[in-house]
Amino acid sequence: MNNTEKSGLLIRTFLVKDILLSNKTSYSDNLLKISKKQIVEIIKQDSRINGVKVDIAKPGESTRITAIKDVIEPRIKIDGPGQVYPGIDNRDITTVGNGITNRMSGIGITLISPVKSFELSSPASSAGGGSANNLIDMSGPGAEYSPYGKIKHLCLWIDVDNSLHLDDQNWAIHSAVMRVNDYIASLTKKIIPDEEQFFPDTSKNYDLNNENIAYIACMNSPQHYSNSLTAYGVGIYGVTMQTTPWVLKPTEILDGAISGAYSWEMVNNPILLNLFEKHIEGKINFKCVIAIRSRWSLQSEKNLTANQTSRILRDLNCKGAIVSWDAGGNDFVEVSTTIKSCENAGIKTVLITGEEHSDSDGPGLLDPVEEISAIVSTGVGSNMWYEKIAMPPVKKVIGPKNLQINSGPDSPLINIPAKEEIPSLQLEDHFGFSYRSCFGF
Amino acid sequence: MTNKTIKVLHYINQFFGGIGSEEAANHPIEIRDGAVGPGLALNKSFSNDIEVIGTIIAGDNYYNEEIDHSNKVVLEALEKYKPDLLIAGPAFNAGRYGVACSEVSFLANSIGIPSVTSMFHENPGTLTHRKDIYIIPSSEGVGGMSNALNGIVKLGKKLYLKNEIGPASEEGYLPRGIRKSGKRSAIGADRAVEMLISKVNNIPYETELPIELPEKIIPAPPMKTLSSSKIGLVTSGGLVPMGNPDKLAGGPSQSWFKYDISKLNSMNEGEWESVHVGFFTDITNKNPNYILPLNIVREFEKNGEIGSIHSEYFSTSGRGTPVADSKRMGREMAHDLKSANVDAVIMVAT
Repeated sequence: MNNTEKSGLLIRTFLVKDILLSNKTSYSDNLLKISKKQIVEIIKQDSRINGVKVDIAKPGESTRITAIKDVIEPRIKIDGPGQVYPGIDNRDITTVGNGITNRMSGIGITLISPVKSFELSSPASSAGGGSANNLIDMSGPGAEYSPYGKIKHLCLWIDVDNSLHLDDQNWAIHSAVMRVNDYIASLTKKIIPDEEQFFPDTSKNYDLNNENIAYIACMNSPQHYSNSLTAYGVGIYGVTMQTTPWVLKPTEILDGAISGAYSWEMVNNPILLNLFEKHIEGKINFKCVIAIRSRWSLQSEKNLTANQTSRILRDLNCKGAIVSWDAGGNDFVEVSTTIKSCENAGIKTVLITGEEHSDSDGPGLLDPVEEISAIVSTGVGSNMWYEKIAMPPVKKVIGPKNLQINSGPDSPLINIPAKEEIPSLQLEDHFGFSYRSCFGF
Repeated sequence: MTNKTIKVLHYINQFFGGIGSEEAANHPIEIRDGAVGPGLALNKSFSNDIEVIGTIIAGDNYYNEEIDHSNKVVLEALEKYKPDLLIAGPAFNAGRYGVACSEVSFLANSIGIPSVTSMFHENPGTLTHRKDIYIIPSSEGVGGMSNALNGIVKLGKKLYLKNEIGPASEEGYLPRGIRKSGKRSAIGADRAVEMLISKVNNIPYETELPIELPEKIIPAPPMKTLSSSKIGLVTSGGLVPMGNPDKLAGGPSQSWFKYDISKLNSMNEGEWESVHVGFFTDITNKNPNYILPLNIVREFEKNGEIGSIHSEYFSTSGRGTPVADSKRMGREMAHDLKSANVDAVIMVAT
């Protein structure tokens, strides 16, 4: 089937119904067999890496995966320019989003490592530079409320030379996982896909009668806390430092243009996919994705990014935008300022967000700005200890055997054995994958 | 089979009691058997469900000015009639009436009698006992009487039957600022796209999280002169003596601490650190004056531009602190500062 006359991206899906360890790595009849030996070889190509533990986790198991730095859906470009997950780990920066890309569905390649993203100089500070969703339960409420609990994981717990600069440690282990991605995804090359879906280049294929709608993805940059321009974190074409708004084609996101810390969630982003569906159905024009960075240091910088975003959308004649973000605290000011700027420019917005806990007099949002008139709530947000849904004890832990969790206001981070019950759900739903929400009483 | 009708005690003001308008606002509180005014409408329209057996009437000024006596009378009435349910209002946008309705509703609840009231969402009566009573939103003027009574009876029945009361948007009462977790019938992403398509097409939608603007605080009047003033220093930047001896949390913190700066002219590197987890603290740790500007303030003191600096600075970590705790800590700090005769505070937030 040749769909390349109409510009866009054809995604070919290869289901992975089961995964198991074997003598030789192979993929056939929807069964992925993994040779530990081959995986270890691929990972240890980089001499900075000391070793790796390979393990598998499946939905329904009483298993907890800890210290997760990224989950990657195996993808590979078959036709068209560039490389999937471009730019990150020194990968090709050629613009992606066209041609044909294969994906394996139902599986993630999961990077496990206790290496922090940044180190602060205050010995007593508990700031740690981890990702919010750095643990995954394969059963129980953790699995119910997260897309990760519903896929199989090839877990790679990588040990790296810790005399290196943190940035080098992080990029060494992440590149290793990208090598595994390229190897495993290419197993799909000569096989007939289970499903195919064409995603048009929406800037060339649209209806003048439809409203232009954008998706604004606001992403924390690790530059603020790390004071490094090359710190590990979510990258746009691999760039993690503070940058001005990016205007991306939605198909670029499907090829992994935004990746690094929750890569699986971005290529499977339900907001993106729903907007595509509405575009294909002829209901809207999914004009673009605006990727903005948060946690700039100055209010004027936040205002600048907001103003530029609304100016771009106005010039592109956008009538509405969905806004998501991925952090907590001060990062919200970029979100609120951008929404204010858009609404004042006549661009209607809907914000999808977790909530501050309003148990004690406070508003549901850190910065309760009147212009944020349309909100979809994905439940309790970054102050996770308020979500009194326990994650039950588990039989098996993949990854470091102790966890540090925030147990509530005025409490230090507590260390608990990862096998034990965790008193509150350690999960945030940034992109609306789940049914989780809060209601006003 | 007979359905027991719910016995209702009804609270109304002088206007709805047929006594008079503003000129009768001082009408003393009184109790009458049976229904009066809108209570008659309740009996007529909902005769299968409820029966108003007693009515309390008070002038809007009277209730608010003689509150102790009025509350006493209400409690006596509740004791005398032993109603199944208390209904107050609807007060629409009448502010003093709304405040009285809130009070009466709260009183009934406090002795175990379920209650419902109704008023316009901007009525100041919505603020006084917000988390503890159920308020059905009404129109601004009396035109929405019938809708308000419908909402009151619908919720009142559920309260009487001790049914589980669902979210505000489902049961028709004003959200009380209490948020509880739950599941919706579609995933977040789908709800967001649907909401946006409605919003863009000017089709009414309902936000899942109504914005609540913060309370407007009237600031204290400015200092007339600084040269004789005593200045206190407060920081929410999590600044503590090196080693954090009191284990101040990096955020959120429900505690605050005081540290002696009486002999210092500057905050020196190596003696202090910030444990705040919400910002890049390396710069502060090299020069703690950034979040507690002692060096600058000492200069003003030396030059006579300010009188003196309080001997201790106050510290907490202002990251994700629940508002109720912030209010409490603020009150505690203010109390200490006032006892120490501090005139003004420099507070550096981060």
